[in-house]
Amino acid sequence: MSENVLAAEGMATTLEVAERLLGDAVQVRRLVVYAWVRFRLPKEDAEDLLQETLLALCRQNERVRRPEGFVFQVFHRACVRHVRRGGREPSGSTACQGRRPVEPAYIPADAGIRIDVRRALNSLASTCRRILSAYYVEGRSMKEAAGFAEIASSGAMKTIDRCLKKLKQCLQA
Amino acid sequence: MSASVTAAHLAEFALLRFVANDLDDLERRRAERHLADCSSCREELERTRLLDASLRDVFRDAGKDEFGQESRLPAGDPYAQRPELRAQASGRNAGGPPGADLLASAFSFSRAGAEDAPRLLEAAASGEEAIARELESLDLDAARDRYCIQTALQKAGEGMSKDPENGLRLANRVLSRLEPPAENDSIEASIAERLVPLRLLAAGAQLLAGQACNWTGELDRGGWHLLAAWNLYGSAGATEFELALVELQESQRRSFASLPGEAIVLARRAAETFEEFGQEEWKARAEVTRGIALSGLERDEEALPLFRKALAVFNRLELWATYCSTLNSLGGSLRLLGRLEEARREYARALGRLAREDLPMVQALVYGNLATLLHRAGDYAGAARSSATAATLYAGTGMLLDRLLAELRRIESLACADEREEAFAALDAFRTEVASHGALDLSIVRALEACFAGAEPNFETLSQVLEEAEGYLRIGLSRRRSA
Repeated sequence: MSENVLAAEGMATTLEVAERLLGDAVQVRRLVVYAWVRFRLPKEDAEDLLQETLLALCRQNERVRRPEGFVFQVFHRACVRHVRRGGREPSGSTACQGRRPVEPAYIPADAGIRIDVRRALNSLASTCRRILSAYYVEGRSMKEAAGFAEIASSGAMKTIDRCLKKLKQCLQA
Repeated sequence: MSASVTAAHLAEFALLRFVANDLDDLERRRAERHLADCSSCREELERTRLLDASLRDVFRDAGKDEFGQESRLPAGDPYAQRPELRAQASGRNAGGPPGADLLASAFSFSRAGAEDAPRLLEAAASGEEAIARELESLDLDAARDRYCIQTALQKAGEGMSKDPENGLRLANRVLSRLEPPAENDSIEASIAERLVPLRLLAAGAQLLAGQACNWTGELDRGGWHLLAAWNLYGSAGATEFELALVELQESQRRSFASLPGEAIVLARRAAETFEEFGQEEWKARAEVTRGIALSGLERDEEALPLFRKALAVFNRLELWATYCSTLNSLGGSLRLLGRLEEARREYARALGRLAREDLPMVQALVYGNLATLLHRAGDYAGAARSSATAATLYAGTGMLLDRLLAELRRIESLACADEREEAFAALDAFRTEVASHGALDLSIVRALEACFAGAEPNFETLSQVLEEAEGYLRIGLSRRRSA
């Protein structure tokens, strides 16, 4: 891409964004708060993960055109991995219910939830995915979709119930 | 299904059907009665509403096939699931300078490395010796030099359509330079490894080699490179973005290798990640790749909107090589749908743009496809001219296989245009050329000549022999390069 286009679109390079973010205490704090509210990660861990995120950004100098989206996603996913490794449960306790961080430009609304729902969908039994796809995409009724997927048996109904429970867990995370 | 409503608590599916207003009157009344008395199910109902809203969002963006049957690769496929990414060591525990200092070093070295990268690219363009010498002069224990290699690899990927051979040369030389890994306990070396791990550099080189092989048509070799990149990224602290880059290239490779169903799965997964990462340009590239795979499944009607949407992005970002390649794919799908005039317009648009850019590979691709279109439309003389132009352009980029294939198509078009003398001359030149490379079985050359032996060329046989010759050339030249 030509530099003119970068300038015309007001797009900063990866390094500029990384440097700007590092020097912007408010943005750093917002990401740290995000990690605490969403994942219950202590400040030190969140700062370490943010550092890893910025190092990853530096390694994508020629590839990443819109670094802000990159920063959030890498940070979010690093938090998820950190929680899995460390055995910490993602937040969901009453202490933080109803409290969402002020969302900086780096954090799209509900981005994390959507990623988790997508991932969970991909791990569902194919029967269940077919039903949901038939309903949400093809506009069939649930009953039609279930019939369409030939899942009238009670065993299959239990499968769907399990799948829906799994999806709900993503929302609670 | 009503059993789920009359159970002690409402089943999940019943709740979802309740939210979807999908229950019949009797089921709904039962459900409402139960909800009136059961606070637990009322709470669950609220969560179901949230789930319903999220699913609507996700499915709206995903499209028809994402979560259907086309969302899986065969069992045992190494790309069936992304590897669990390994995290890099934390800055506080890994020794070396504390976070802010480490990052300041990263910014500084990264910027300096980027300034050095053009020198490496120039050396790659100059030939094997030059790039080997240049790489040898770099210090792999210095972060600046590692950033230099990394930037050069990424830039070569961006410029792949200009000269894939250069990309392949750089990638191979970098891989040779990285083996065996340097062992050094100095602080400088440990910082370099922290900022740009050698395994990530190797992964980048493997990715570049795989990408280059997609251009040169060495699909098996490319597959090994991409798999190596996939495994290295998975174990070296990469991000999902890098895995998606590999998926994108592997998707293209599978389309070219006549595995379009699998290509769709990979392209879709990559597109999803690029979207999540806010990388519009890369998402558009992945959608084009998906379009190419759809075309391979003869679903060109579905491919058209993907190409058109991506074109708008490439046009706005002035990514002309990608823009023209996409016009080429769009023209191809239109041609396969029999919309020849529209296809010709798209090729013309591409060639108009290419006249202002230095992109001979893309130009050759478009001329090659234009030749196919003209041949199909019965303009054999025009097809022969386009094939000749494509062959000349390929010759300038050193793409031997593509040049010979363009020559073959030219011979066919000349024969159809009743330009027998010229066809014979072209065949003669072709025979000499392939003999010098030992790339074609003699029996195929004889079969080609036999097609012209009678009073009229045998077009049906000619077409079959050409197809066979193409297969032989691909294998023969690929073996030759590997040797």
